[in-house]
Amino acid sequence: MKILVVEDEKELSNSIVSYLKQEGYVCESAMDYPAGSEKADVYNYDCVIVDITLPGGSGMDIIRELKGKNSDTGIIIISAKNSLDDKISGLDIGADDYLTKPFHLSELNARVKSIIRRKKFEGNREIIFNEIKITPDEMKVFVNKKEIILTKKEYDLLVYFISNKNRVVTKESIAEHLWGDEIDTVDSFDFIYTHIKNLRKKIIEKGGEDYVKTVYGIGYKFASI
Amino acid sequence: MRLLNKTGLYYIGISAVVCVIAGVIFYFSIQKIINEAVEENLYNEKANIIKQLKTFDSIPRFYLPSGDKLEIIPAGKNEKGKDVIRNVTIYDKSEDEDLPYAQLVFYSDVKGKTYKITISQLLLESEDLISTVVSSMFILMLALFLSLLLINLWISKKLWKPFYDTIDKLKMYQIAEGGKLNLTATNISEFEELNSVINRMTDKMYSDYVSLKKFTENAAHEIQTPLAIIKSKLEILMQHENIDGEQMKLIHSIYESSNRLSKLNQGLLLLTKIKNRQFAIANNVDMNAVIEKKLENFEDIIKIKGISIIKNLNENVKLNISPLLADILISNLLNNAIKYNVDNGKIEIILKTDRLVVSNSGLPLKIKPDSLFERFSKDNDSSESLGLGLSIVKEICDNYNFGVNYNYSNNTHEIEIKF
Repeated sequence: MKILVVEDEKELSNSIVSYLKQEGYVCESAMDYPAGSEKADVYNYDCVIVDITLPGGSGMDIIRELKGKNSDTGIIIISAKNSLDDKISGLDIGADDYLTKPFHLSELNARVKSIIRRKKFEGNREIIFNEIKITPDEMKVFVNKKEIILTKKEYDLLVYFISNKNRVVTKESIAEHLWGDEIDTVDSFDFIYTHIKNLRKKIIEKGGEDYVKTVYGIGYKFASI
Repeated sequence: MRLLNKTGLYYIGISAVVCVIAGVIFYFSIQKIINEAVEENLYNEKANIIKQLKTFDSIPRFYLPSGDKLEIIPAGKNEKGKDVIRNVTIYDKSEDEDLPYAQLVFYSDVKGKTYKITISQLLLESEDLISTVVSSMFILMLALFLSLLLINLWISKKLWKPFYDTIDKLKMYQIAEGGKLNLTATNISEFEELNSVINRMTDKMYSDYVSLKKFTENAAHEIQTPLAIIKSKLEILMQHENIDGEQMKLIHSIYESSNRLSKLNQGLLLLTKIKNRQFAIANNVDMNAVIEKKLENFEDIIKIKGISIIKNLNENVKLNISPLLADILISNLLNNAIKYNVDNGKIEIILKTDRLVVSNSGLPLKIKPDSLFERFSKDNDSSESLGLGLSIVKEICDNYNFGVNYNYSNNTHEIEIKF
């Protein structure tokens, strides 16, 4: 899986690349529009993460060029401009997703996974983690081949956990993933706890293991060890 | 009271006083002139009479101006005296009233005989004089009043036009919409000066406003990037295997604070953007749909807190508003209603064509209701809340000229928005 990160802020770009590399992706980065445009043109990527305001041009043009190539590359816009217009025009010209800076790397990771899943594994888009199997098309979850019924938020939470498996996922990023930025995150920690409790219970009931570990009050880790 | 009416009243008041004083002076001076003329006349007649008496032996017939009377009576030898002028009233049969006369009494010798001669001259009645003076003064006043009124009207239309023009334009001036006032040029130097001062002031205000706005925008915008870097580095750091609990606590606390800072910054950026009207308006945003969507998003939280929702939503409320701001408005209102609710409390949402009311059960406010919509005002000083939610609501409402009100009664907080 190859990913291109077009972001002019070096340190942010490094963070993204470093996080995604740990997920097993092959990551390349470009710091400005010409480099980004050239790389996107020459190589094939499974996913391109692109900033809108770049030295030497606009990220929008890179998206247009990618779309012109008729590739099935997934495109995620990361922008500091929290403006609806940007979001709409970005999605209009063919971007798959939009993230506003500052974002959680775990959120970006989950989005990348979701896009690659949608683009690449058509017909076979199952998420499997040991005895847990998720079929995203039907939003169904099976533990040991037995279906468990989850609420929408519990389902989102499980997919988010598995996308970031073996990683520390902060409570803040979970809150934003589940409710968007409409909620005061601190208030929502109790609710996250309730959801996690229910999720654990439902998985264990069907003979699944308890994968959710609490990490020093900072968040959770979904891991088999 | 308008300036012109005020000056008009002053003018009329002062003219009235002046007219009264002038009338009195006028009256006395006319009387004096008349008296002098009468006296002169009497002496003239006296000279005439003496001349005639000396020329003719007998007492001749005298022809005097009509109304005047002459009386010649013999007097005793020793009855002599100086000339006397006096004012008397004499009863007049034909007019059946006392009429005022000026009399000159003198003595003259004719052929050894002394006569007492009295010349009486009819005076103009003083009432006539007064009424003439008063009426002429009254006419003068009336003329003055009318002309002042006309002049005032004319002045207000002509002379003060640039002034009222300027005031109208200042009333309409909105700094956010910015730019020039385009004050009407005038050849009255005071107004010209006023206009130029106002122009200079608004120009300065506008440029200050623009630079402040730019600064806020840029500052907020530029802060986001380092924050994004800090957050991402922390996220990578916390993935390391050999971090112990103590170190993780430190990372957590930095992470929390940077999150808070980033939220705060986003909130402020949003407030600035709303104020700058940077959100495009869409037609017919379905408020009912927005509310239902948000309720769905908060569904689980509402359930966990055991809050019951009472909805009374008119399905046909369409507003011309930015869809994003409609979203933020509703989610902030609901967020508050949930956050400051009690366990097993309730939230009531009423949506009508002219208003939206969100009320929730909750404990009384500790802060003054007036400051509820101010930035950074929080009911409890816990550092967890940003205190921007309701000020964003207020800003959105102000932006679309919606009225927003807060009420508390029967343990229920109520926020009403009038479209």
